[in-house]
Amino acid sequence: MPLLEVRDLTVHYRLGPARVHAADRVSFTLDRGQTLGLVGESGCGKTTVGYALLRVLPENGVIAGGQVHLDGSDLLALDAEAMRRVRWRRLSMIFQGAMNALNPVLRVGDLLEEILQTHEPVSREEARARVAEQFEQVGLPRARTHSYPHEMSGGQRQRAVKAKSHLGRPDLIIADEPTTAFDVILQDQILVQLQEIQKRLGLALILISHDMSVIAETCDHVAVMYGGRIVEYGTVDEIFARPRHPYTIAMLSSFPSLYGPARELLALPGVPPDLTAPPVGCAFAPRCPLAEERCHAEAPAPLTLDGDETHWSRCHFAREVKVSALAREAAGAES
Amino acid sequence: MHGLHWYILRRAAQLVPVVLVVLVLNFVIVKVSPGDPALTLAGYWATKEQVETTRQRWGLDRPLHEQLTSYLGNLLRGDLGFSNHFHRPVLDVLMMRVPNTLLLVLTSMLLGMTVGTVLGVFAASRYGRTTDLVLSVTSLSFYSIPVFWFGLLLVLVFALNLKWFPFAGFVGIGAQGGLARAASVAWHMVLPSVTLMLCLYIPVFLRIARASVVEVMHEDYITTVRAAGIPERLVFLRHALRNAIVPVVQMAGLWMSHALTGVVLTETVFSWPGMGTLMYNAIIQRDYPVLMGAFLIAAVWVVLVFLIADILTAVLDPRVRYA
Ligand SMILES: Nc1ncnc2c1ncn2[C@@H]1O[C@H](COP(=O)(O)OP(=O)(O)OP(=O)(O)O)[C@@H](O)[C@H]1O
Ligand code: SF4
Ligand SMILES: [Mg+2]
Repeated sequence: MPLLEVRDLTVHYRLGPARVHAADRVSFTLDRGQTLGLVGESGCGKTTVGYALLRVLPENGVIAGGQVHLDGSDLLALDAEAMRRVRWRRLSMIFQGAMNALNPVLRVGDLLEEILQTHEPVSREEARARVAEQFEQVGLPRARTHSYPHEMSGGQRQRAVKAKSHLGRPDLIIADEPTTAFDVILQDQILVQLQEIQKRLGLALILISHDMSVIAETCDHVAVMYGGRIVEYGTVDEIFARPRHPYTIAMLSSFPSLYGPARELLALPGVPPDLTAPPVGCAFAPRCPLAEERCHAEAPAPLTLDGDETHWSRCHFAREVKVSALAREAAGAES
Repeated sequence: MHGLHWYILRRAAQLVPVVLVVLVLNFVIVKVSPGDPALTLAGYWATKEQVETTRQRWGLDRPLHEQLTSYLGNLLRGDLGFSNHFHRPVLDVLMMRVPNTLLLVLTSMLLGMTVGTVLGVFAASRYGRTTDLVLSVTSLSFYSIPVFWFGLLLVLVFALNLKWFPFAGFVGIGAQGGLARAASVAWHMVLPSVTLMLCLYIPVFLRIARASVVEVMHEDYITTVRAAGIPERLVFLRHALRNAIVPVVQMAGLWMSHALTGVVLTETVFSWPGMGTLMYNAIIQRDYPVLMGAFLIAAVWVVLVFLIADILTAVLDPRVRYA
């Protein structure tokens, strides 16, 4: 049984009379100890999926349908108190933009102690010792537990947030753009550390990012999101070697390779879809170089791909030559 | 802790130049305002010679900087001048009025602030629902009523028609002895303080507390603690309120700083013998010594209140200690 099984998760944001369809029938599974990369351009609904799994959506957010099974229990069916006990203990999230993620009027150590004592019957001294120990493990001096968030650098705050998540020894951590705000060296450190902890505690990780190189380095599986939907899913090898969705292909070909300038072969023209009125057909159709009439009229269902175990794509032509040809063409331009 | 002590010291030291500037400004404003104080002092019917004698007697013919130094010197000795109108030292006049105003304003403000803040926090916890809407609309309606008009309305209904409360003044003539006097003062205070609370303090603090809580509840660090499984009640009480109360304290400081001079209209409507009515009359009668004394007391009050508010803010919010 997979650790996490998400089926048809659908999330709306109420916006006056309108509804933002931020996540639309999102499905994926994740095994213990594995890493899933959730990737897609800004506004496609990545953070929304993370919030929904933890059920901490902003108050205009509604989970309109779907199921989330963590280790067998249906998270969306839990009452508030049961859900509260799942949070941090079994499922923890490192939020995007750690700058403001720590209560500014509390010393960081006190905050972590409070969280620990909420979930475990430990004494003040024990909590303090464990927090300090966790600080050292993420590379912060013990004395930092006495600091207020504004006395720490961005990188230090990021580490403190990570210490908070690790302290609970959850089964699953969702890390939302953990590296985006930092320089390349720090990015590497952060990723290496995440992987280390993951190995040691055997925890599963959902890594949210818009950076394909980060995904390639760290993940086992990849889910590519576009306009609130997962448009392609597969192992890292499958996605990077045999992308079968034009959007994935465009993303792969437009991300700058480390050794040369960005290739603009398949630069994406146009803008992402308006999620208050999602298109009837394929969400990518207005920007897709392969779009046909059918694409505008009919939403593609996920098509599994022969030979690949877990690989599927939401493109009408995923199994046809024109998509694989596009992928080859893009890869040719890259190498 | 070190940071906090240092902050308080630095903040207190800043008071000295501020008070000095206020004193000089105070002096200059009165000097450049229209009317000849010597004429007023000597009386309307005084002859030219009498006016000149008065001018010399009070040193009004000396150069400005000399007048300023002797003014400051007198202040240092606690001498705020003499009011011809009241035939008493200005300090005595002020000491009779300041407590009356503080009694009225502080009572109303502390009550109104507490009620308003509690209601505002409550409204925020019901954000967007009917209770919130009703509270917000009601408070805004009261806030938009002019204070003097509402005061007159209360007088008309509850003093003149129903005769439940006295319509003006501070204490009844017959009220002798400590307890009876206190009861009478309280009785006289009901209508003016209800006016101040309903039209001013409750709406102001309701709105700021509500806005502040709503804003804080949207902060990332609130999502963090919620996502860490902190019970919702504690998320609100421990994490949100502690942050949300900072703007409320600052607002309290702002309104508290107006306490001595901010309720002229209310005092006038209810003939409350406080600083407001005193200053109002002093302006009309060109009672400059009283006016200068009142300004001075008001300015020192403002500066002290701000100091206290800043210290409170620094205690509550570690970020300002280094600002
Ligand atoms: N509280 C909200 N109310 C209304 N719409 C929202 C709200 N939060 C997000 N949205 C919208 O929902 C969509 C998905 O947002 P989300 O934050 O999940 O995107 P994202 O993929 O995480 O983007 P980014 O990479 O920029 O973080 C966006 O179009 C966004 O405008
Ligand atoms: S379904 Fe059509 S529009 Fe959508 S990605 Fe495939 S080819 Fe492009
Ligand atoms: Mg996001």
